[in-house]
Amino acid sequence: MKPETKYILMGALVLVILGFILAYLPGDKASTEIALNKLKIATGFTLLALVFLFGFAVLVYIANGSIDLSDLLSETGDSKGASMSRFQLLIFTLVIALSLFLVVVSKMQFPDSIPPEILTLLGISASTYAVSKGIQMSATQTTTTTAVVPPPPLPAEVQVTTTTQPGSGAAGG
Amino acid sequence: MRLLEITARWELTILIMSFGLVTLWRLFKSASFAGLVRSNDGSLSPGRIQLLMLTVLTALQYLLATLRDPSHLHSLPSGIVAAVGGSQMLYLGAKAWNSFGPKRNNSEEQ
Repeated sequence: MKPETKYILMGALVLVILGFILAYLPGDKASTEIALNKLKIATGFTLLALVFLFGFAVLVYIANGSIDLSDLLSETGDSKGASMSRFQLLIFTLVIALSLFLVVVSKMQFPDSIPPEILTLLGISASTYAVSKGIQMSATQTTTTTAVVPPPPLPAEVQVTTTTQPGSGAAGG
Repeated sequence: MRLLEITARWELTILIMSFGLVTLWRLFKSASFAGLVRSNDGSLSPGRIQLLMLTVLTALQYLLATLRDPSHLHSLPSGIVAAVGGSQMLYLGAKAWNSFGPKRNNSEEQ
C-alpha cells in the first residue's frame, strides 16, 4: 500500500470517528442555536484534524528524507558548503515567525502592529541574499566569457586541400 | 468552544515545535556548515565570522525578549539594525572584492 493511501485512509477514519462523536453529542435537537453551535464545533474539529494530518504527513516526509532540506543552506555552483546569507535569512525568518506565533498564542489575537525595525532587519537580510546571488552569478559569467577556447582542429580533407593549394597555384600561374 | 480553542492551541504548538526540531535535525544531519566561516578558497573569512556572530546574537536576543514577555512583538534597538546593516555591507564588499578584485584578475591572466 502506498504511503499516500495510508494517510488518506487514516484521515478518513479520524473524520468518521469525529463525525460520530459530534453527531451524538448531548443537546436539545429542537433548538436551532444548539444545532448551529454543534455544527461550528464539528467544522472546527474537522479543520483541526485535517491540518494536523497534513502537517504530520509533511513532518514524516521531512524526517525520512523524501523532502530534501540539504539545499536549504548550500549554494549551487563552485562554492561548497553552506551560504552565510542563506543561513542569516533562514535564522531571522524562523526567529521572527516563532515570536509572532508565541505572541498570537499568548493573546489569541494578531498583534496590532509589527515594529518597523523587524521589517527593516528582514529587508536587509533578504537584500543581502539577493546582492550576494548577483555577485556570484556575475563572477561566474565573467569567468565563462574570459576563458580562452582553443579553435577546433580542421578536418583532414581541408588540411589536404590546404597543403596542395600552393602546388596547384604554381601550376596555374 | 473552549475545548476547540485549547485543542487548536496545543495542536499548533506541537506541530510548529515538531517542524522546528525535525528541520534542525535534518539540517545538522545533511547540510555542511563549513562554508559559513570559510571563503571559497578554504581560508577563514573574518567578514563571515563577524556576520555569523552578529546574526546568532541578534536572533538569540530577540527570541529571549519574546520568551520573557510574549504579550507583544518587541522592537529592536536601532543600533543593532545599523550594526547588522554595516556588517552586511562589509560581508558583501569582501565577497565582491574576492570575486572581481585584482587577485582574481591576476589568476585569470596566469
